[in-house]
Amino acid sequence: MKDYTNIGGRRGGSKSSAAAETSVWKQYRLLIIAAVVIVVFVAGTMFALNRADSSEASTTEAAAANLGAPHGPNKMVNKVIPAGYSHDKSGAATAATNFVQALSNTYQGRIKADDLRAAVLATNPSEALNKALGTAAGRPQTKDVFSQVPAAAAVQSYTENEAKIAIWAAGVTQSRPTPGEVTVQVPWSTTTITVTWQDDDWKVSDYKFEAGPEPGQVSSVNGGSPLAGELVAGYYSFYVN
Amino acid sequence: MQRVTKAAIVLLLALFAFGLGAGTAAADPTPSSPSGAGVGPSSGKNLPKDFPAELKQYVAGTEEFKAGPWFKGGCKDLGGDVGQYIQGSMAQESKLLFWSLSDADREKISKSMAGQNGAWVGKSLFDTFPAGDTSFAPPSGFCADDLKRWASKTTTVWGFDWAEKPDPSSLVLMKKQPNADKVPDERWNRTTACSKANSKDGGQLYCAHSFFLNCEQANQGTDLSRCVEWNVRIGKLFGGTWNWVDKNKSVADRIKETAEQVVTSSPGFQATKAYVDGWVSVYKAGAAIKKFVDNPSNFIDDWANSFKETAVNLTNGILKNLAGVGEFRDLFSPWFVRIYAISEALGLLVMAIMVMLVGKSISGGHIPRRDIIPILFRDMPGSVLAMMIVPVVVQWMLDLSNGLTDVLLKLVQTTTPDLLNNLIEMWYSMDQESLLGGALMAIVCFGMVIIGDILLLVGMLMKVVGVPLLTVAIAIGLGMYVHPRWRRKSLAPMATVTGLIFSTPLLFLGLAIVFNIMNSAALRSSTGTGEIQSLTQICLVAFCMIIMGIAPWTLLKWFPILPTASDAQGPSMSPMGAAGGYGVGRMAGDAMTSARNQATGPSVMPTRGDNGSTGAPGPRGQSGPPGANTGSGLPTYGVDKKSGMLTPQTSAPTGGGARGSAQRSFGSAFNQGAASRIPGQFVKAGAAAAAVGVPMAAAAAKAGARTTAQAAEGGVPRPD
Repeated sequence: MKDYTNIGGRRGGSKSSAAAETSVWKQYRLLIIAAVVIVVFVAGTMFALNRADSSEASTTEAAAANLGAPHGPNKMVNKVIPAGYSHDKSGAATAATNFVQALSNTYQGRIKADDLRAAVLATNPSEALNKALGTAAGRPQTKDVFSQVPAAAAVQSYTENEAKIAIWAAGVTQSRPTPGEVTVQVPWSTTTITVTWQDDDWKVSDYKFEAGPEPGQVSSVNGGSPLAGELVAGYYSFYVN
Repeated sequence: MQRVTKAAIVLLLALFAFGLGAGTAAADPTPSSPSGAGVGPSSGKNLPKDFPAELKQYVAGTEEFKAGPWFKGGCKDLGGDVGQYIQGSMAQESKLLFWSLSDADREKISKSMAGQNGAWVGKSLFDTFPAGDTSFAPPSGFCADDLKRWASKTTTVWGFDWAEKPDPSSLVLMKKQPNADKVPDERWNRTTACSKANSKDGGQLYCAHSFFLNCEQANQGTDLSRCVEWNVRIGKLFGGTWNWVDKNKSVADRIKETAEQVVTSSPGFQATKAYVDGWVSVYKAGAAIKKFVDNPSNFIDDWANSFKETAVNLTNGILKNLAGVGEFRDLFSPWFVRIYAISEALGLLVMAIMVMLVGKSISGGHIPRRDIIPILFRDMPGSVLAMMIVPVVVQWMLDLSNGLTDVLLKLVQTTTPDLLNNLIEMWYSMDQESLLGGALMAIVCFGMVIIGDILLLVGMLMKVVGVPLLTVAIAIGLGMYVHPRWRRKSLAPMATVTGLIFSTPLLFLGLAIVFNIMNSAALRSSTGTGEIQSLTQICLVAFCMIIMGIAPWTLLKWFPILPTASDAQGPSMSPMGAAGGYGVGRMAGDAMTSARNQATGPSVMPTRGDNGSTGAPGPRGQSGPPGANTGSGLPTYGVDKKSGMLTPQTSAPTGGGARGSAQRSFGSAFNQGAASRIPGQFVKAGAAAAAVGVPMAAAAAKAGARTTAQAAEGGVPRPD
């Protein structure tokens, strides 16, 4: 026997409809709160990132040291991190090379990892990049010297927004393992950096590291090697400390 | 009020996740260990008697070790300065070696050497290299966390173990060190260097000092430089070792043969574990595993011996290497994202089907009409929203769980080396006299330990497979959320994945507890064993391992999002089931029946012969006259001519248990209602019914299987 009592339900009095309305609102409350939370979360993230970018801009302007290099860097963030490159291949190559060196300086405790992240990392760094920065972070300053001396930089790909550069560098290392002993080694490595054009500058977004090749191994280079590409010419060096 | 509280909790969790996410995004995936990490038991009471005080700082677990200089200074946030520790302990190597021998062996050596040097207990056993010469020692300033990255992460005191051999580029540089090119090739590989053949003539020194790193695991230029620096120093050490052995052969000759054999076979000197384990081998030193039965006379004794050996070795290996097993990192990799997108689409499809079912239920009066609005405008968008954020939430839980695990791993690491030594000591002394039940009980008990070990290992791997599977299941299951009846089922995968992810830290917490229990149990055994005591202890150890191993497996029960038999109840369901899955269900039911029949067939075959005369097999589907049942309650069977399957000859229950209610509705639907209602229902339900019907058929098959356990005789009758 079908139940017909529901048919008149809608006009069954304001009491029941009011009750129905209240319970409907209560039912929706959770969904609305969840949606609000997510919106707040997303907005908060974007706001925080914007703030980081703008604060970095003020820091760099305050700490500007105009170096006058044609492709950059045109400022030193916190006096130790080169930033501000031109929007072309050489600018991208300079940015990538300087990042490899800045990472090395972070490892030696001369740069704070958070400063480096704020100054030259893109908004969505890859996991490999985060891992490398994490390894370099939190180390005390050491008397040992590690210099990444770039021997060659090859631009593997270039567009207006993104460039990939492979840098072959010698890691000149001087250390004093025991009193009276000094050792020097120079292991070579290839770092492939992807930079993205963001906020009027080249920012590092991806990172790949490989040991080698050693100089004895590079006289004949096959097509796939980073060193087989177009190398960037016109290299000069300067010191910052 | 309750809802507001719930909402507040959700908000708090979201803020917490935001904060945690921002933090973990920037953090290194491998958190640094707290200072004082990786220490052994807190009291030194297990050190041998007369152990020299100045050596205590080199033995992990002592107060002096924890207060050592390696946990202060530059490496204090990075796991401790392993280079400095090795420098210090290597200078005392021969003394530490001596003390790592068992009491019996130390006695033996003291006696054999007393004649030559007078009283010499505590003096060096023989000259080692480099002893105190720091120009050959590894460099200080190398922290455990870095070495972990360049070698391999395992459960030792320092949290890592050396690489098998140095990477090729480092090896080239190492061989350029003074005299290093004269070192034979097989010494540059840990395995071959430590093999018996190479352990003579100072060869054990290469084995003991093979502190190799694989510098291809470095992740940046400076990292590579430091790793190479270490390797090159080890190369220098090897070169110096060769030179020293070459010049001091006469010293080696002075050692009596028995002493050298004892020393080189002692666990303290086996490979490089002595250093990464902080010389905990001085706590309990023992020789090789004693055989359970000395003169095995039959295969049971042989098995007892091998089971014991396997159990000890397996436990040793697995407990030591628990760290680093079973992490799933691919949640945002392209392949998984693609698959997840597909599962979201499936979830939406399920949602569409469910909405149709909701409509049907509402028109049938099973769901109140006023619920349609919340279902359509709250649950549907809510599910879609939830589907999109599931991987983020799962990743957050994984990060949280990994962080917790790393912290808890330290807890475990503190007890593992000590525990292993105690376990080995306990099992060492166990032989057929001391274990109640002898060789047979040894097989059973050590067998249980082996099973526990394997379950533990496999259980840890479950997370790798389970997390992606369950994430996908959540997405599909969320499609079911709109239907009130299926809501609980749709939330089941979420509960399961949470449980699975957090089972790892819980596992390590449990392991820490269990290891301590096992440790104290093993310790007690060393003070004297009664017969039952050793049996109880080994059963306790086995039980602990099995418990820890099967914990994740119980979660499998909740994995299926398909309906179970309990969902098959109720008249409102059976028409759909009958309509949609009738054909499949029939076949499934028949298969179950025939499987059951075939399983029990042979045991009842003899009764068939008894019935031959009276119980003529009736035509297919009809109940034959009740055959001359022997009264045992077993049904009789004949071969169905058409399908060749065994089918029961009688349909009257012979006193077996009552049928389950699921079976009843299932049967009734098939028998009475379905037969007449099938044509109309099938046409009405269409594809939607088929989608529901297939799982229903699975449920029906399960229901059928359940009744077999009750010894009910009824098969599935076949209406024509």
